[in-house]
Amino acid sequence: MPKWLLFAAAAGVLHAAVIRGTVVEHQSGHPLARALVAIEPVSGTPGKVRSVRTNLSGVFEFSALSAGAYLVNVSRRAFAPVQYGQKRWKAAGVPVVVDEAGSAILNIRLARYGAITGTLLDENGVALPEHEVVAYLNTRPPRLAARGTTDDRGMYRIYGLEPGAYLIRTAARDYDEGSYLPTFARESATVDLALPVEVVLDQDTTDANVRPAPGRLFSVSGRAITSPRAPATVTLVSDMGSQTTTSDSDGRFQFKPEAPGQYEVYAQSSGARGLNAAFQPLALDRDRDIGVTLSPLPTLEVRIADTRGQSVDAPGIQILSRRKDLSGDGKPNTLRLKDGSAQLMPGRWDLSLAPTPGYVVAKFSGPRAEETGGPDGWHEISVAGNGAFPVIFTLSSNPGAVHGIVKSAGDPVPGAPVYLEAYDPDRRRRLADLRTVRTDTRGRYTFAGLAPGLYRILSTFEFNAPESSDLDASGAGMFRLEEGRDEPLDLDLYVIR
Amino acid sequence: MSSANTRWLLLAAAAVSMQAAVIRGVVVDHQSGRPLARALVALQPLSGAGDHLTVRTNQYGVFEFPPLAGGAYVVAAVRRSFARVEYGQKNIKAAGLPIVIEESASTFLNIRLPKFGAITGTVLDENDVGLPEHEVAAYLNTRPPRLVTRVKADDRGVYRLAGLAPGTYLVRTVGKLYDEDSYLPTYSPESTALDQGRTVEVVLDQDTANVNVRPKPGQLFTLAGSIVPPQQVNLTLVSDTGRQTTTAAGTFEFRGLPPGPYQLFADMPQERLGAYTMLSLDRDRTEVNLGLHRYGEVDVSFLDGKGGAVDPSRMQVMARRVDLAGEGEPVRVRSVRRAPVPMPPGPWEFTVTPMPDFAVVGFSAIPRERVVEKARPDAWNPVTLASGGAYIRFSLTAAPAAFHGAVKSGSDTVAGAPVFLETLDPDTGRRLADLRVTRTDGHGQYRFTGLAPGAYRILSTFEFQAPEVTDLDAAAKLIRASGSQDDLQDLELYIIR
Repeated sequence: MPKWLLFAAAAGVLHAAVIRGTVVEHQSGHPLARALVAIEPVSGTPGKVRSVRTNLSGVFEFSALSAGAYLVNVSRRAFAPVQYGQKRWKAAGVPVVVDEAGSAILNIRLARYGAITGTLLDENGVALPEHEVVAYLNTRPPRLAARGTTDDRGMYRIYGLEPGAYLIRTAARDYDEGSYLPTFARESATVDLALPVEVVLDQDTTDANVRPAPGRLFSVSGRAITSPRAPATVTLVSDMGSQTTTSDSDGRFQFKPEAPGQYEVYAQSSGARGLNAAFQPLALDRDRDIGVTLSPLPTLEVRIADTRGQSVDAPGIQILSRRKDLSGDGKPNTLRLKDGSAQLMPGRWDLSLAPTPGYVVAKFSGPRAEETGGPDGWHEISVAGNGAFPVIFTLSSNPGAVHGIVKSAGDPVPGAPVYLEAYDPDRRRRLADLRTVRTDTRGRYTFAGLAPGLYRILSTFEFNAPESSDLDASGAGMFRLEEGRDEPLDLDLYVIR
Repeated sequence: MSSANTRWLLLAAAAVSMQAAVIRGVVVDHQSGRPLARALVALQPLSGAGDHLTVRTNQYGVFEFPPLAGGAYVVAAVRRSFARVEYGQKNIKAAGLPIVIEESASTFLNIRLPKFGAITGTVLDENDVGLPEHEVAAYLNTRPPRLVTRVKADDRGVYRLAGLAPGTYLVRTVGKLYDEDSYLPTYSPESTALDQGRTVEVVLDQDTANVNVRPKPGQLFTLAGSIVPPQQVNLTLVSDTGRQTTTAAGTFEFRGLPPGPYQLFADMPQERLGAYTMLSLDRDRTEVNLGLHRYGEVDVSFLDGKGGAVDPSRMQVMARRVDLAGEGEPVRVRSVRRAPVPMPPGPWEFTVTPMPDFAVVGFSAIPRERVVEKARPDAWNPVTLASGGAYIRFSLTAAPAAFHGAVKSGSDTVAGAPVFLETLDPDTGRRLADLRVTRTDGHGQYRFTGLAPGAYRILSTFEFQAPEVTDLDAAAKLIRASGSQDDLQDLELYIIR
């Protein structure tokens, strides 16, 4: 029996398989009532995803199951979700295998997310109450993760954090009696001198104190110019987040004072013929009073063509879009095209095409497009003003594929995660979102609809969403996929010992 | 300065070379002794010694007022999240002692600011696991309890109700609907009944800890319906636990409400349309129609003792909403060219701000209130407004009563002593109108004018800034105003020894 599988203890009298168990709080061992437990059959096991809630004693049960392999996921508010059998946070869960008429009893411990706590102090060591504090993932640029506010003692607690390294920064704040600049913990205006904070589950990382630097903030006001005159919603965005206001009957608007730096101004207003909008970048180095002229939305003209330039009309192809601004990337949405066109709010956007299995994106071109990945990844565009912006996705009808069996010591591994990364070895960059599948009950996997190019592939339970650096460390195999080829590639399960 | 009243005054240290009086000092954190930068220090002269002045402390907590005329002053300091302190006050509820300073003298004050109190605890489920992000409210332990503040527990279920003045409180969780269950509003430690709620003492500079609550599982209800005709309105739902306001466009829905009485107010202030209804929730109610009507017109008139009209431009009529959550902020009822004033529907209270040469001796309204508790016309008078509006009449006397006298301690008069005058219902012991406060002048004299006939209680003391009814019980003198008499009422300064 392969050692990395969790087998059921046989229970002779049952007619169908059962998975039951208890969910408890990791720290205290107290039962967790009303936790959500879901089982997902591994490909090749009959049945659908099912879920139940634990009872008052933290107990759950799935009965009348088919024999096979199941992934068990457990979640409850304020706790980090767990996949049964995970070696640690960020590892993938191991399937639970049950025989016909067998049963498995699981004991699942849920850990709480991590938290960062600290105090904001003024120049005399006196607490600064009701001051906003932001936690960023320690990436470059830092990515906003969560925010909190100090209490009357100047203490803050930012919780719900996944394990990892974070940076803490205070927000700009204008009080009656003085103003403070955004300041990284402990007392740095720049990210290079900021002190990273390590977060682990079930723990508070304490004493991430900050002494915000007193300094000048600048006012941002202006006039939203609409025709006919109408109130506009105006948003000021920075890497610290955003603030939104509504213009008055004269179109005037005013934001709370902000720190010097780079900003983006977005405005929108309902007109007789639909939405009007505007976007403009803003460098804040003094008090600013700006004019924002709103116009009808720009039109995105999407053309999907094959490699010979002929239009492709394949039902099921979707264009995905996500807004980009200084505070980060928005959630992807499916673009609703009408006669190949859609209206977008002015600003920066990422576009991507989700092809049907018979196609793969071979090329993209668009307005001021910035190459952020491979052709089948995200493409940044910038649209503004009242114009038409053509984009072309060129599809190849000859996609590649890779398939094989994942083994451990010669045995196929059911339910093993397999990760496929489109990779640029020169720039050591991931070119598109990581693809993931699990092997079926016979250890087989397949990735289809692939663009030609270089890929790295790894099968392991050690991660559930490995970063590029994790694939580096794991010695992920690299291969070149030729157009239209179905590459056979068996894999050894990677285990950290 | 007379030597007779020196015991009650904080005398300035003479500074021989100064040309004018100087008041300077330092403000520090009471607990740590750290200087408090940017604290606001206010100086209020007694009996016309100059203007009200404010300054902010510098980085070292030091303040200095510009050169002053000799005289008596009350000095108060305040900073965010600290309790306001009047210099010389015996405790936080006491009134400050005036500083009497001679021309060409200076004085240095050391002011220590305490932080407000706080209540902390954990919201726990039946297995002693913290319930994350559950709302918790603090009420003053009055009957009915008065909502003071509310907060959300963190991911561990830990909450902290801060910024509380010293006193006795009740802690109650808010009704909450989760995906998996719902909880009734529950008083700490675990009761839905007020009389079984634990009372919590709050003092300055301290956290009252371990005030845990175990919310009772129970059914919550939905209140939903339509605005007729369908319009976008500001909609406020009121219960004894507070108010929540939202914008509703044609329809509305409030989910997760505990059983009990509610009030619904809809308002379109620009169009002067409104609606009001009161209902009892003991099941889901999803077809509540709120019919919008024009604001009712409120016609306020004034008659003198002989039935003649009084010029209304001299009168200041105030109104305040009264709902299940308590009394709202008073607003001035402004009539343009003596025209009736449109006002939103619902229960209101009206009063006339006291004038020195008039007193209110009668009140009548059409429509009449069905149930009116015994009240006095110079206090707040209830009127429930509907679309038909209301006729309100105040009867005035142009010869109001007055009280005057000296405040003494032994045989000495007391300068700057607070004097409190309470309008009282002697039968029920209830306070009928807002407490009136004045301070004695430099000769220890006080005066209240513009009084309606009736019973009053009067007290002079430095022991309180705003005494409650029970505080006055101990030593206040019961007096009666009648006709246009200006009664002499000398008072002995009350001191708690």
